[in-house]
Parts: sequence; structure tokens; C-alpha cells
Amino acid sequence: MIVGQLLLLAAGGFGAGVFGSLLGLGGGILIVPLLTVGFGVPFREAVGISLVCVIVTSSAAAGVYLERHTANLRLGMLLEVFTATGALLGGLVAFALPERVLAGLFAALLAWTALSMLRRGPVEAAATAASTPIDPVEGPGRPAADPGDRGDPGAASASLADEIAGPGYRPRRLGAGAGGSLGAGMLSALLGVGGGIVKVPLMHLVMGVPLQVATATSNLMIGVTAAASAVVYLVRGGIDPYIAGPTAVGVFAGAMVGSRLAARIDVRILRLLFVGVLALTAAQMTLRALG
Amino acid sequence: MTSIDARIARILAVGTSLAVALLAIGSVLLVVGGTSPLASGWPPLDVTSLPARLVALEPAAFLWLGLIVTIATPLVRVAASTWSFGRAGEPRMAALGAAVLVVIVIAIVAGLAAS
Repeated sequence: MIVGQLLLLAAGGFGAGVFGSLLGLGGGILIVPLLTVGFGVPFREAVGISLVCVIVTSSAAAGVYLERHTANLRLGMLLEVFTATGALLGGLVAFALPERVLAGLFAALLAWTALSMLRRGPVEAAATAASTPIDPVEGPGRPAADPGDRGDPGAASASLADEIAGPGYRPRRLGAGAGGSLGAGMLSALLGVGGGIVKVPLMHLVMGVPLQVATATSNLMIGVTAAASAVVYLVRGGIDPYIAGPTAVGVFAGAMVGSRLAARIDVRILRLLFVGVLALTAAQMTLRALG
Repeated sequence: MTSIDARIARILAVGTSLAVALLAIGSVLLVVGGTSPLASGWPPLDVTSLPARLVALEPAAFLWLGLIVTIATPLVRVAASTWSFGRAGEPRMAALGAAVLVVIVIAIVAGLAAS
């Protein structure tokens, strides 16, 4: 009985870890329903445990992504300033707004993002994934200047864009990326998710970062935001160590498997999976908004 | 992979492995001790008594330490990145890392004050 309960928790964590790692999500979207619906854990306790699992997913997958040159540490550190600031602001106003309003807003945001990703055809998606063109004069290792950056506040700091550029791409619209990251951090703190569900499309669709790089970098960033919230839960006694232990171990194993699968998965399949998760989460948030 | 990326990847790998090992040991001790993971209520976190409880092979002690290491790992990653970029002569990246740390400290203090 006790062994069965422990194995079930670990198996649920494993599934959430695989899926979360593949899609650049912390897995909180999957773990909270798993614990509340599947095991009858109170919502607040489920959120505390989920935050721990989100950190495990992020740390485990990000290490592998860095080893494989997929995660962009510099881009992550730039955007973390804004996600962390957003999380701080979100945490301060979290109790001032009705949860139903927040859930409704988030459902609308998720639905819009899913539709935006679906509207982009496979060819355009592949072109976007290939990202910023390479300058033929400077050679393949040198990112080309993007004419579209003119008039963009981010273009004023061209050297910063160069500094956070990766092989074959140069993030654009840094101002929009910073603003979006601020919002992603706020939503993360207000709604209890890792925020990857916002950060991945933000980096991919707005900043022109290849989808796999955006997924990996999002994984890197999620842990820092979740850690700030998890400290508060830990200090206030809001994390059940008995459930968190086996669940987090399962998440760790799942994240390791997922991060190794990611390099072998077609970007279009990854996109479809991501759209599916967006739709499911939008439905979940709509139900919360409707009470 | 740059040396900074390699160092950060190592920190994340070691921190996560250590945390998961502690959580796994605690989970196994739960089974050995006949405690259901779904039992209502759990022993509170008491950092001062943690070493003695670890020596006594108390499941909750291993689980609490695992949770602490889990939460600390990404924060150590940011600190190490900041230090590494500073040493590598990349002041802008180091400043970004320092800014993240300041924001995290403010968030923690604000969270504790609210509790």
C-alpha cells in the first residue's frame, strides 16, 4: 500500500517531467491537477510541491541543455532580471485581485498564444526557427544586422544584442522581450505556474529565437523565479515533504529523459505539442474563472 | 560549450543530483519506516535539529534537506554566473546577474515580511 502510493506519486512526477522538459514548461500545469485531482491534496499544498518540482525540472533539464549548446545563458540572464522583477511585483499584488479575474485573463492569453502559433504555417515556422539571417560578408559566425530593428528601443543597444546572440541567430526586439518577461514573471507569481508557457512563445515568436533554444533557455530561467516563491512556502510550512519527495524524484527522472528526447524531436511536432498544452491549460483556467 | 556554460551546467547537475539523492533516500526511509506519503500532517522544518535527525536516519530530515538543496540550486547558479562573468571580463553580464540576485533577495524579504 505504502509502496504503491509512493510509486504512483513518482510515476505521476515522471510523466510531468518528460512533458514539461520537452515543452519548456516547469510542469506545474500538470503537477497541480495531478495532486489535487489524483491524490486529493489541498490546492495550496499542491502549489508548494509543484514549485519544488518546477525547480527540479528546470535545474535538471537546463544543465543538459547547456551541455548541448541549446540553452542561451546570456539571454536567460538578461530576461531573468525582468521575470524576477515581475514575480516580485506579482507576489505583492497577488492577494489584491480576485483569482477568477486572473484565471480569466490568463485563459484568454493562452488561447491567443495558441491561435498565434497555429496560424503560422510550417514553412514560415521553419524559417522563424532558423532565425535571423547570417551576414554573408561577415561570415556564418557573425549574426547579421536586422533592418527590422530600426526604430525598436532594443536596437539602440546593438552590442547587447550581439552579446546575447547565439550560433546563427541574434535576438531582436529586446524592449518587447523585456516587457513580455516582466509580464511573464507577474503571471507566474500570480497564477502559480513556471512561466515557460509565456516565455517560450515570447522568445520564439517575438524575439526570433529558435524554438529549441527558446525552450531550453526558458527551462534555465524557470528555476530562479520558482525558487523565490518556494522559499516563502518552505518557511511558512506550505510544502509537504512526504509528497514532495517521491514526486520530485519522479519529475527529475522524467526531465532527464525529456531533455534527451528534445534534440531528436521535429520542431513542428514540438510546436503541435505546445499548442495542445496551451489549449488544455486555457480550458483549465477558464473553468477556474467560471468557478 | 564555453567554460562558464560548463561550470554552470556542472553546478546545476551536482545540485540537482544531490537534492534528488536526498529526496530519494528520504522516500525510501519513509517506506522502511512504514509511513504513508499521503498521511495527513508532517514534521515541521527545524534547521537546528536537522544534523541530529539526519544521523538518526529520520525520513523527514533527508526530505527537508533535499528540499533546501533543491531551492538553493538555481540561486547558486545565478551567483556563480555573476561571479564567472565578472572574472571573465563581461561586466554587463555580471551586472545582470547581480541585479537578478538583488531582486531575489528583495522578493524573499518581502515574502517573509508578508508571512
